Amino acid sequence: MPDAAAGTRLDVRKTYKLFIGGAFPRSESGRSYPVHGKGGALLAYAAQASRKDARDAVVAARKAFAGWSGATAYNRGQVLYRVAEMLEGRSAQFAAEVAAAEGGKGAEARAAVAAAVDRWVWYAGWSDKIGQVAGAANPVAGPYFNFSVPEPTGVVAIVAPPGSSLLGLISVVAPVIVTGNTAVVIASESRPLPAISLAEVLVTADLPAGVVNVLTGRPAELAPVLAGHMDVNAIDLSGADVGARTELEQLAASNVKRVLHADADWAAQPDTRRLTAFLEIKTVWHPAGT
Amino acid sequence: MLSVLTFRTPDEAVVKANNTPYGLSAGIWTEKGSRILWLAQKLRAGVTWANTFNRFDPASPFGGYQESGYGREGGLHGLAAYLHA
Repeated sequence: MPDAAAGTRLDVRKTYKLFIGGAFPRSESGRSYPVHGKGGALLAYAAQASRKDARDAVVAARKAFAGWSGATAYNRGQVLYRVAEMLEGRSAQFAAEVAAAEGGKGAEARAAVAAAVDRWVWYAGWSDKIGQVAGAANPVAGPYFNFSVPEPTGVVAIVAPPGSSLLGLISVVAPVIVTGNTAVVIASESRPLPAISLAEVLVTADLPAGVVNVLTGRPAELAPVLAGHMDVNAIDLSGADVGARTELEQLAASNVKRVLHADADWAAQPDTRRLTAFLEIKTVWHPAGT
Repeated sequence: MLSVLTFRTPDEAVVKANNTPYGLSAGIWTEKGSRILWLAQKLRAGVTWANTFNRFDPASPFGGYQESGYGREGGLHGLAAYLHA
């Protein structure tokens, strides 16, 4: 009998894949790329998503939109709070992954994970409150009840911040989905592993398939596909490379995407701006009379 | 140009109305108040007029979804674009 304590077990090494439509497929291209830790050690191989994978992710996000945006705000809040519970339960794993990816002391990684969980909870709470803050009853001159309500924009592409593998990722994903949007997120190229672990949490928290889709690989290859995609409604360029921003914004203009510009600071204390950036205001003129 | 289509159920009308990359405005004609609100929820348009059309008011936000443009003019949401708050 092999004895685990004697170190005779074989390593159970993890194969990191993509997260599309609630499943974990390899890249259809068959490509992967090595991910190194801060010290240069090989951590793992991550899937290198192709343009086809990006398009598949948009299809999955579109398919999920009707159900997720049609769920009650209360229900979305409950699902997202459960994500926070799962994150908290796995905080040791995330701290280890963040430390391996970003270096620094263990305490720093634990603090980053705690901040990420807190931020997720903060945004989850907005689910059934943003409607009161962003909506209005409008005093028009006429026999109408006129009101405006915020609605999710649709499928949102996100270029996640390259430097912060978990806190940065959560700071851009949570505000997009809490209001009912669905997301296709390009994870940090050099630090993609915590994003795939987050995807495992999303699945166990019963987030419906396709609400969040995670691509790992080269943002330079994937971001233009999403920015120019005609079935993507908005794009968050928070993590986009400085040199790529102009091209991505031009591509985004092709179908009048809502653009959250790259200078929006994800690290700052959050407010409602990341929520309202991906909301449409719908105004209804309802007749009033006998 | 105006395209005129028929429908048999309200659900079918919603699918047809939303089958466009635009979404500036929509109009609903029905005697049933609850149906107005049900349809207004489903239609992906910035402004929905019920039993009326092309009404504007400085207090009412105007602007479209998707490829019908950015932002809103009028009302609280129109004013927001002029604020740094």
